[in-house]
Amino acid sequence: MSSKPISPTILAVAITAIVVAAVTATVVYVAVPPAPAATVTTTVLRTVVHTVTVAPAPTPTPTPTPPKAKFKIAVVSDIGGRGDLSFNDMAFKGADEAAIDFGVEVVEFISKTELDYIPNLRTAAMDPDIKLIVGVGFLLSEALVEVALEFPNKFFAGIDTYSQEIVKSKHPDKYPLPNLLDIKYEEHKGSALVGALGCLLAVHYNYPHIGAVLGIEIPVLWKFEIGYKWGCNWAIEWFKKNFPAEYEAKSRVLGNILTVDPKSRVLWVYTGTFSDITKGYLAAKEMYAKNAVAVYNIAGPLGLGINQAVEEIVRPKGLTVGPPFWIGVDANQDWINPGFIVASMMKRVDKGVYYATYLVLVGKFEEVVRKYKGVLLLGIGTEVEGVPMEGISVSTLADLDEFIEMGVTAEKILGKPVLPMPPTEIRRRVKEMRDSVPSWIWAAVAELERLIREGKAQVPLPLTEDDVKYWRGVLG
Amino acid sequence: MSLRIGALHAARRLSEASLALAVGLAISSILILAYGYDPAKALYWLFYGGFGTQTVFLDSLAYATPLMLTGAAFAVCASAGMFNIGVEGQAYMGAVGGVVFGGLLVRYLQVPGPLGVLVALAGSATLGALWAVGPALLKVLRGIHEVISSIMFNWMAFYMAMYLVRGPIVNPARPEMSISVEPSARFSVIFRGSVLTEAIYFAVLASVLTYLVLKLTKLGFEIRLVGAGLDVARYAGISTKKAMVSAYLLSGALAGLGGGLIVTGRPPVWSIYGTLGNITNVGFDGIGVSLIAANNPVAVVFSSVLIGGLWNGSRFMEPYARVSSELSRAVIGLIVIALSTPEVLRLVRRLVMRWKT
Repeated sequence: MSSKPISPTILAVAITAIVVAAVTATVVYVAVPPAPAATVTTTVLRTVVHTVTVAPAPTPTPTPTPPKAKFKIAVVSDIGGRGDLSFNDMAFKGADEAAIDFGVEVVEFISKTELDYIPNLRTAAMDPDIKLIVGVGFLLSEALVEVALEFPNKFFAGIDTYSQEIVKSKHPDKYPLPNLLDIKYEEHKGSALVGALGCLLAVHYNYPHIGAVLGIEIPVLWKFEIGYKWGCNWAIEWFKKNFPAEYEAKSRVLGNILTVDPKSRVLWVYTGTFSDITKGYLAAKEMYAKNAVAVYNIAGPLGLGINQAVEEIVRPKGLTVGPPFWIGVDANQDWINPGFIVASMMKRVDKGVYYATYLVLVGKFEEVVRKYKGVLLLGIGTEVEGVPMEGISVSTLADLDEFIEMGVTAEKILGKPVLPMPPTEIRRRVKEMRDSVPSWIWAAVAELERLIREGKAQVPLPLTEDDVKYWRGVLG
Repeated sequence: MSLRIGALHAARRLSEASLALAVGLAISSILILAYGYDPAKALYWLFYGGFGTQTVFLDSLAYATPLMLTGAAFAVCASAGMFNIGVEGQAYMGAVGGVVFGGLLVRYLQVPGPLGVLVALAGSATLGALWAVGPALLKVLRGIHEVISSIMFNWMAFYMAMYLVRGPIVNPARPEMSISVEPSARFSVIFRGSVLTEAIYFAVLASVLTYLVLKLTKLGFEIRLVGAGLDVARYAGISTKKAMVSAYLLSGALAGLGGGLIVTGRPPVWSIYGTLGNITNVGFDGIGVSLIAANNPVAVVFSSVLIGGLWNGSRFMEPYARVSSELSRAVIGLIVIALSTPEVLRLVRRLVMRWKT
């Protein structure tokens, strides 16, 4: 790998250290003969003049006029901006793809704190060339409503937001706001697919459980939880129907998931955090100790904690491929620790940004808002106005490369290594792992996906607390 | 002090500040250049975004509003010769107090209109001051340095606030944030199209009052005398412990108000996010603001506007100058350090001189 750039923080600290050293020298010089403050000024000045000659003095330049694109789109990030390998990066990826395919230009606004949401959205809306403003993440919901009301001639889209619900409760006369689109995802369907995958792995490798580490208990996560459990049960039924003889045989193997009470097949816990990686590690460790074959990461960065728990098991044994595994979420996370992430439930935030741009481009944005009450629900087999708009899928080897690419970009931005090994090696290991999983398991997942797509399999969608209580009663 | 000396004094401070700013900008330019960006363009957008148009300037004032109070809070303690790092934690508690009083109490008592704001802010000031009691007492009773204890109190406040925001005062409909303060406990937006609220009037008033308390009242005189030197104060026959505790509690109350102004004076959520993201750093930025202002509460108003403007303007560096947001953070840090250097120098010089005698 070529030499890596130093991170800006370190350089800033280094420069500050130099300045502090210079200043301290000055202080000592000044402090020895107690001189009036004027001396401080002149002494500092001497150091300054020296510095200034190195750098060109900053002079205001007029705004550069870029070549005219058809129009511009703005992406207003959640905290963190580019390089998070998750939501923000996915949104920017979608915007970049829209730029290539549709010739739009992308303007990036990074929110440093939550206080930046409204000012960033508004700055974007005030730019005359920007037609569509995408807010990334549900925390921007209120801010999007506020700014969308102010700029009726601009289009606003939010990823995972509940902006139209806020409009409904606060401005019922304006619901649904015609220039505002909430883009949501059918996470329950994707979770059912990885639940089926996990349970069949447990059947095959003779493990008693699968696990799920969840974040804060917010309604969105109920969809993941219930979908995952439902998928597990579906898979066991499928196995019983398609492989009756093997089902009988496996049912007699001690410790196989088939011998376990159906309501305790899935181990699950809400950790109450989306940031404390240690909690993810501890929760996963307990699950692997109970012989979970795979743990589903439903808590963003806590996946790194789950990965740590897996590492502790597999490294001493010198394994290069699971079990145990974990299951990625949102992005294709299979590259994080090749061989041990069996697959990822991908929520294509990038597609959301892409489709929103497309709708603006073809002039159907407002029509779609009206038709779907302001919510664009992307899932498996979604079709909007005759155009396929899918947003949920299980990761494949084919889409691994796009996400390795994202890691390469993040390395450039963060100035530190992100990928665990060279891309070709990642690809080789992921392929090796996928080949080690029997093809009938992949076939089962593909079949469930087809059934969901054709509407022949209905994955439960819990929206209220009562729903989720009911389904926990049924599924455990 | 005669007028002429006063003017000279002010002129010297101003020239110091502009020199420091030049140094900060120069170093920032080197940093920006080192990462292959155009420093002229980056700094142009930083200042244009903060001060270039009326719209952005109003937003800059909104960013500055809470800093005025945390800055004044730090200045009060500095006048008594103490270093209140605890403004950060006191601001967290102030925000919590604002939510509890402005959300629960105002709703329960059905407090109307402008009175609701006062109830919410009373909660902020109380909790902020309460959070300052610990370090203050440890200092005067046990001689434990306030920097050490208040850093600990900052972390306690952080975890406490996080627990409260995610547990007892969580918004059941939106678990990612706390309950909001009631509409009657919110400052209203001054101009449509900006996040600036009437909270700024309150902040400016509070800063000026703090200045007057320090300059005109007996308590202020005692606080300043303690700052001039403990022996001097004791010789003058005042209770140094009482003055120090008073300064610390006043500082805590002001810092608490700074946190309170975020939940009562900043659209759109009027609550605390579960990450505490909207209230973090408001105290630490206040320290920088106060140092830039040479710990003068009135000058704090202006230095807050400068720093608030930089934070607001930094939003423009990424989209329009293509400078990565991490770098824009570093640039602001450098400018703040450079601007506070003259005051830090003076403090260090005073310490060195005291140490030598």
